[in-house]
Amino acid sequence: MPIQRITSGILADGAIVATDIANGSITGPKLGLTAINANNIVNATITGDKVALASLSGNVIVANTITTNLFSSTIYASNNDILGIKANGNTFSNTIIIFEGNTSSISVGDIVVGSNIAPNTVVLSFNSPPANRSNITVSNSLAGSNTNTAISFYSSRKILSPGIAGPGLCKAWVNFNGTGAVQIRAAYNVSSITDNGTGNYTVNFATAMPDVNYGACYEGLADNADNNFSADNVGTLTTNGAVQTRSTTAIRFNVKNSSMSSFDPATMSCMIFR
Amino acid sequence: MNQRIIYPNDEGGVSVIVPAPECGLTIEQIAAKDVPQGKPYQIVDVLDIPSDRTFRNAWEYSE
Repeated sequence: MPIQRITSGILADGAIVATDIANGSITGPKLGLTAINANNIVNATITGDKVALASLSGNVIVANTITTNLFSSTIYASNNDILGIKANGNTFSNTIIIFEGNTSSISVGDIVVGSNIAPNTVVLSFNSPPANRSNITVSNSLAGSNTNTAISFYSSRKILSPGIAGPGLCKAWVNFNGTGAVQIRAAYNVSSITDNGTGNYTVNFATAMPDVNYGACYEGLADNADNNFSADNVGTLTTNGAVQTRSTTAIRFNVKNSSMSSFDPATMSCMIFR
Repeated sequence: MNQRIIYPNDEGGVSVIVPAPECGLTIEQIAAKDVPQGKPYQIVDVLDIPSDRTFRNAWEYSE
């Protein structure tokens, strides 16, 4: 017989295992150190003063509302979490030998990033003593043997808050074809570009920047008709990105070749950070 | 979006506004936002804009 209602008491670890918790409500002062396993939690409401150190596992978790009065502050990524733990080490097979950098705070499940390390590689285990996690086993085989290579570790269990991550995110970008009938291929937070003349463009932001102190990056495809270019330069960056004007709503720039003559790039990108 | 907005620019030529696809704004909203204040403008079909840009800086705006 299904449990209709629990008004008090304690459910032992692993006491709730169901294939379907639908249209239900879990309310309590604390959900902690407990595993809730379900194949499907649909339209459920989880309400509590604190949801911490709990694990939810299942094929699908779809909830209309998850309300907590307090998330533990430790689950939000800090600036240091975003920057990651930096180290140098030797890599071979599924092993990383750390010989430089403090990796004492890494955890099982951390994502490992570095040259010759496949995406989504995570820490599986590390050697004792705990203060010296110099011998780390990871989930994917590492390509070749590399010595003194830079390796970064990032938590896979932190919530990324816009309040912390926002300044590092690209606030607007656009990729367009400046030749023929000028066309935007893709864009984010850009309402339009203005073609002002040969190699002269304005990027208009859909939502304005807070001020003009943003950073702008440019990337363009070379003008391979320029006789001053050698063949080696075809396809390399040729714009000098000279900014003519900038405001909170738009930025205007010129694209020039090595002769400092304006030209229309077949591929041009502009990225804005603030 | 197969439309463009043209207006006379301060250099004596013509500027062509190319709307971003899926930006969520209509061509009229983009014109209201991105055409410099006080400038006359026209909304035209993309086919009305020359694709030969050899003399791009010599283009002129006409009512």
